[in-house]
Amino acid sequence: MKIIELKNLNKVYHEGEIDVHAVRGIDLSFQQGEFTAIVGPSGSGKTTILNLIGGLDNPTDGDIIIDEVNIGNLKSSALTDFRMKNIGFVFQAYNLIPVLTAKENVEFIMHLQGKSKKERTERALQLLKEVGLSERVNSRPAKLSGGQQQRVAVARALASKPKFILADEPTANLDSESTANLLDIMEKLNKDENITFIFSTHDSRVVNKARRVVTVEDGKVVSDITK
Amino acid sequence: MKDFFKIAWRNVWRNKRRSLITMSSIFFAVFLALIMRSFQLGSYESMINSMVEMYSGYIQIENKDFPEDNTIDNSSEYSENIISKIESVENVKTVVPRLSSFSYAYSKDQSKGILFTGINPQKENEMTGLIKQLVNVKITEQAVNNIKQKNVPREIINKLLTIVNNYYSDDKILKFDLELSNDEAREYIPIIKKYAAYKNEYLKQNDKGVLISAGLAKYLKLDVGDSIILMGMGYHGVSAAGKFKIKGIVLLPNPKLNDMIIYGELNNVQHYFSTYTVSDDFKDTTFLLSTYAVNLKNKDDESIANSRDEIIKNINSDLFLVRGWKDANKELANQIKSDNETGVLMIMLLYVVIAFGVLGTVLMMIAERQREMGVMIAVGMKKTKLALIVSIEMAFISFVALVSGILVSVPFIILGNIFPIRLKGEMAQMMISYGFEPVMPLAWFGSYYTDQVISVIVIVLLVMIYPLISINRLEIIKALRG
Repeated sequence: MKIIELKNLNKVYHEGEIDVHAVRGIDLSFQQGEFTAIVGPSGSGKTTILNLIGGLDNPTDGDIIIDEVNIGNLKSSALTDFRMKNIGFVFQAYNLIPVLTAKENVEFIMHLQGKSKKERTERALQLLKEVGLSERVNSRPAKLSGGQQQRVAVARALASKPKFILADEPTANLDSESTANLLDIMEKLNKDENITFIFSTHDSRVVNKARRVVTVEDGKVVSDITK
Repeated sequence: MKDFFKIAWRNVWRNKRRSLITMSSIFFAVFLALIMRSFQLGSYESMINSMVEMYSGYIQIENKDFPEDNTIDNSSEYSENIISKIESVENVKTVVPRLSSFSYAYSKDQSKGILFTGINPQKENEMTGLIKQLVNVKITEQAVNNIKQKNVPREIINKLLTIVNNYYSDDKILKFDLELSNDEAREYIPIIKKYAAYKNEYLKQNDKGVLISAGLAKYLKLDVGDSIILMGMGYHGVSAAGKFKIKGIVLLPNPKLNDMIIYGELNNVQHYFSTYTVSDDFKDTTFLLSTYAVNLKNKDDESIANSRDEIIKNINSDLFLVRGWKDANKELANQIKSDNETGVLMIMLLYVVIAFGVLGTVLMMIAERQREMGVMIAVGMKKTKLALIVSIEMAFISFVALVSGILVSVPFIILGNIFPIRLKGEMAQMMISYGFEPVMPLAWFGSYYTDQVISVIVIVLLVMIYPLISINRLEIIKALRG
């Protein structure tokens, strides 16, 4: 089932008097349950594509259709709601809320969704157990290692039961062991719970795990290989 | 909502030092503003108390020509009927008739221009508490010698020697001048009062004696029981002369009055100045006076204006001029007004400085949390909710600082009100030269507290505009890039 469709997607940044074409006429679609890596050199447009799919940035031209909704037509507030209900994010720098514990970080989105305290607590503990952090539920981010923080970020991304998860270079700041651990968790979630993952990465370990690899150069898709 | 409070509370304490510095700046602004304002208002109260409450009254009723030509010739009719009409106004507390004019006072060695004031002893006491101002202690060398025999510490004797010939009507002032502790005051003031006791008598109805102010008594070297000669000009050029026995010495809070006033019984003074008119058939005598001084129950500007209007309506006579104290005593009113405006300006400047300090904190807070805010919005938090969290943070900081400032000021205000600072040295001399009692009391709690609360709320609301605009304009991508 197709859940994301990008049609003739363009993004131009105006930096002073120079126009930078970050994305040039991309047409792509993603199916439910995919485990996809978008790869390419730095500045190729990987992160921009993820930001556009996530509704964090607006395309200069083209359409982004998610579950039959053209998110380009949504107003700011509606787009925020849409992100909360449909999209999970994992960032390169983890970006957990520093004043909240691991459990509270995971609960945060559910709180925004208006879930009951009981439901929030149960799901947060369940997700933290799935990412192997049952023992660190009450630790604040500063007390966790990079790998642990990224696992909390994955649990947070899953908390809202999103249609898919966008992970922007999730392993860039992790050591080998943490990377392997994180990838195993995400692969298991993908296989067991049919959760769609889309990564931007240039980490070969992520590429090796991915079942589909989309290569981007100069804002264009140059190859799209399904293993 | 509870979770938003939790996040806000933790955000406040994530950078303890900055939050504490911000709180401290608001705390000190509130505390200093309260103390400064309290000193200011307290000194105005003291001025008004010594000039208005204790002497001129909140409303003065005089001959309509008196303000233009301030002489005894412009006296007005004294009538119990008029007093009744004034007293019928609900807000009127006391009505005191007075006849005042200048004369020369002569003692054996000295002479001085004085203000001879005729009063109704009972009513005057009701208004000004004149009996309480009768001197009850006069430090003399003989008294100090006697006190020395009673095992009073040497340093207290030395201090007593520095205040020889001083008069006291209040133990607190004696304690202050001798720099006694509470225990010392309890032990030694009764001894001092025993050996330096000063016997006075207050005026009675139709009394022929006079009360003389302490400063004048000191200058003329007069004591109770001595006689004083007064000479001056009476009503319509009649010469006025008389010899009066001093029945008491009064220590007045207003230094100017304390150096020049002599009180006599009204009828006695009316005869001295010949301020009466006789009807053509010689059957009726109408006595005159300078002023009906009126004290009020409610003393705010609106109550004074309303009472004044009611008095005018009740008296219903073109011969009288009815004025509130600010009209009658323009010099004092203007002095208070200009000083008040300066004080308010100083406090405003203080708050402006603090506002910029708080704004600086907010700028830093927003700048260093751009990425975090970007993440919150990215994962689905609405900007309005984020703005709410930041607002709660600022409200926490301001509330804690504001409440602390208020609470810490409370004991200072209570102490400063009950035990006002008595000025000494040049500062005291300056206050006396302006005609005011050299004290700096703190005003009791009042609307100035509300003013500070409102000021802080307004500052915080103004400062809050910046983060609210910043959050509203926040672009997620830029914020995530940090």
